[in-house]
Amino acid sequence: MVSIGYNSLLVLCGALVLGALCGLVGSFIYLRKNTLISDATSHATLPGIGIGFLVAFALGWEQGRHLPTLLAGAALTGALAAFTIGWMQRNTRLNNDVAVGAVLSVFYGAGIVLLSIIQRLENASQAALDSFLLGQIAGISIGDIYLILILCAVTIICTLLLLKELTLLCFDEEFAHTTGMSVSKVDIALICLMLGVVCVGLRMVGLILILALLIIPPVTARLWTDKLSNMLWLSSAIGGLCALTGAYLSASIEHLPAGAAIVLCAAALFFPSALFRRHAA
Amino acid sequence: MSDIFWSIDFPALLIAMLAALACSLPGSFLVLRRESMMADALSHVVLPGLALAFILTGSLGSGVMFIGALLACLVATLLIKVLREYAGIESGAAMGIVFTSLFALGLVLLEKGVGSRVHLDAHHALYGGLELSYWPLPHTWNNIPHAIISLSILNVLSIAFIWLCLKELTLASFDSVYAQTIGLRRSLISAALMILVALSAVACFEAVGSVLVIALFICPAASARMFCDRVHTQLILSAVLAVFMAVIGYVAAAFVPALLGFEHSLSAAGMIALVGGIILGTSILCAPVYGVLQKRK
Amino acid sequence: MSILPFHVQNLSLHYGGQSAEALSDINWSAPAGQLSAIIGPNGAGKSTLFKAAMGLLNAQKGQVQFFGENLDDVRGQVSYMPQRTAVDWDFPVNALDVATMGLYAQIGWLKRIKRTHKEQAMAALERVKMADHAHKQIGALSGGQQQRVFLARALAQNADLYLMDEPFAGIDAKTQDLIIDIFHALKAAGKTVIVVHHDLHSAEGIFDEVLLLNKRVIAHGAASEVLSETHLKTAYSAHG
Repeated sequence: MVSIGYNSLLVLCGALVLGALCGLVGSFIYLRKNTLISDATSHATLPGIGIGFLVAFALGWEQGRHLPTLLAGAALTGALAAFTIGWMQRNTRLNNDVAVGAVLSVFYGAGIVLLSIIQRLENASQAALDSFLLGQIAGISIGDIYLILILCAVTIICTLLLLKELTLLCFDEEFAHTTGMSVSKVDIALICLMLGVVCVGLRMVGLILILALLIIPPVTARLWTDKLSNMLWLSSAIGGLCALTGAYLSASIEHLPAGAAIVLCAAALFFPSALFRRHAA
Repeated sequence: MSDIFWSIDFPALLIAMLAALACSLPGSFLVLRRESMMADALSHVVLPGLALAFILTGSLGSGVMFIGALLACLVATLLIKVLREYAGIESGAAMGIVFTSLFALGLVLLEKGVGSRVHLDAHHALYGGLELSYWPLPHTWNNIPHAIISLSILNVLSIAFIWLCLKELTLASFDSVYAQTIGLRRSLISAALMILVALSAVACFEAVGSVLVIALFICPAASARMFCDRVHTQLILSAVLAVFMAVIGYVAAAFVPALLGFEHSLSAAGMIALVGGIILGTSILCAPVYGVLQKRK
Repeated sequence: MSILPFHVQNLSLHYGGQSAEALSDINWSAPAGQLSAIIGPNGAGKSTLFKAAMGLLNAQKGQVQFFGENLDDVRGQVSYMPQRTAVDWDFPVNALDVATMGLYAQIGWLKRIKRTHKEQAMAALERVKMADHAHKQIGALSGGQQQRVFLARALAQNADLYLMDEPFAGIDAKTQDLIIDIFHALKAAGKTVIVVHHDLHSAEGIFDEVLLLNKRVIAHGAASEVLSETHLKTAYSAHG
């Protein structure tokens, strides 16, 4: 039996909770057919991370690598991206896919420009920013883990509070509307939850691959069940399991990016499911 | 002009312009067919293709790399199609699953299979390597960067394809049901277009990186959509805007910081995408008929 | 003309995953040189019949023959006008471009559009009184005008058999009269026209032959006979 230190245990715990959270929120995103918005939003956090870094660096916090500031920046530009996509859909002749693709690449481009500025700063620990692209388990500090756990807990509580509304929204939008529920407000709440999940996942999974953790567990769960409540817990279980396994593998095998390990675990569950359960969908 | 310009900036500028042109042409059809996100998916899938090609052949030759990446794109397209049509998974989710899984696979292959033995890393995919192009003086055909050659060939190919199939592409994109009833094999047209997109994504990957390729595919075409009501004007305007975006983006990244007194240049690929966004934003707001400001009046 | 322009034999079709048949053992031939209507309640399989005939859906059993041949051999002679479809109305094509599409098969794949083709398309637009709007983007036209442009596309094809799916859906009275005039002109020119139609009351005045359909053939024959009380009751009662 390999003994696991307290820190590693906390990291694995963080991965488990994060994965479960992704599975839960991702289920609603999938049922609302909104998966691509999460793709754009997660890529769009990059300029926010850059801005957060510059702010923290200017203020002299941890040479710029101050997780709360970075995540606040990420949430800011992520939200701006989600809003821009919605605005483009409502006000222009451009279709949803164009809005998503354009916002995704332009925000990401802005982020890359900011990173090229940060690279030139002296005394900045800019190398750590790479971990936000592909996720990294090694070198994650205890303070960061506490922050991730707290944010996960907040997002889970918010999701559970909205469970009834979200279920209704995904189940029957028109009926939801007749009950007097504001469909658009619940949709915005769902986007906010998604944004929360993306930000929490940046450190461990990375912004390129967090999308996978939001999509693959729900789709896999959907292949096995038709019932929403079953899908929710199954998807959370799959997400948690994949994140846990992936994080463990990444921590024990050198140079294995955490995000990639987690996604490959999820893919290893998904593809056989799709093969054997294709009639279920 | 200095030697540095001709050996570094000139080839980079040329590559940026050729890449922009190569992506904008199929990009218009992706935008019109509501398939823009295929650009996203395919550009990510290039990475595992490169890694696998190297692991299987042990060669870093551009031909091998190109074929590997192209095959990966085709496999991804097929996988997406299978998930959509046979497993009944919604198309956005199907794309997301396929490209994230393959991208993750590519990362792991790069880290574990290729290792640090050779210069092939995820850095390119994420940041682009426009700054690395180098054409030593004196310029000859022998030392020309191979990206200039491959992108030129690609542009000739895609212009020829679109010139030949303009009417078929238009019909299949506008009304695929009718196209089928008059005997046009729409699956053939879609496949040809996807191959063109894959070729462009692969050829431009090295220059601008996978995420920013998406900007080249979508931003010029989407900007042109705000102005144009005919397919050929759409194609021409989006090509012009693409080249414009590449030039302005590169200049803004390479020369403007120096003019402002900064020592270092900025990421050219990132700046090109950013300029694409500014062009698109301006078009959305100010286009004469379909612009938001015009509609508000 | 002795050869049947549109001949359905034992056609049965069910959608994937559903056990109930959408069409069950359909046998029918449209009379040559006449105006025929296919009538039936919603979900009776009227459009499905056309889609199966045009090869857009695969039938499990039976076949449809055009002029005694398979569709692939006589595509040029058959013109199909889909239901006011889910085309992208923002697509960058104008009315003339759409009408020209009717000529594409005739022009030949990978060949370029010539001025004479544009002139033919323009003539088709004139027949539906849309020549003045030829250069307008398709989405800038009203619903009735759009329908006329799609009719022009079908006419440009200069076929011998016209299959039209709900051409009267959601259009103005003026366009409706114009379409009926075109039908009569086509009939006078010896063409066969088959229309999926939903309005029982107007059917008798317009069409010669009627096929009453509700997943199976309820009745067919001269319009006045088929549209009798008993037949309609069978077709529109709840059994389907």
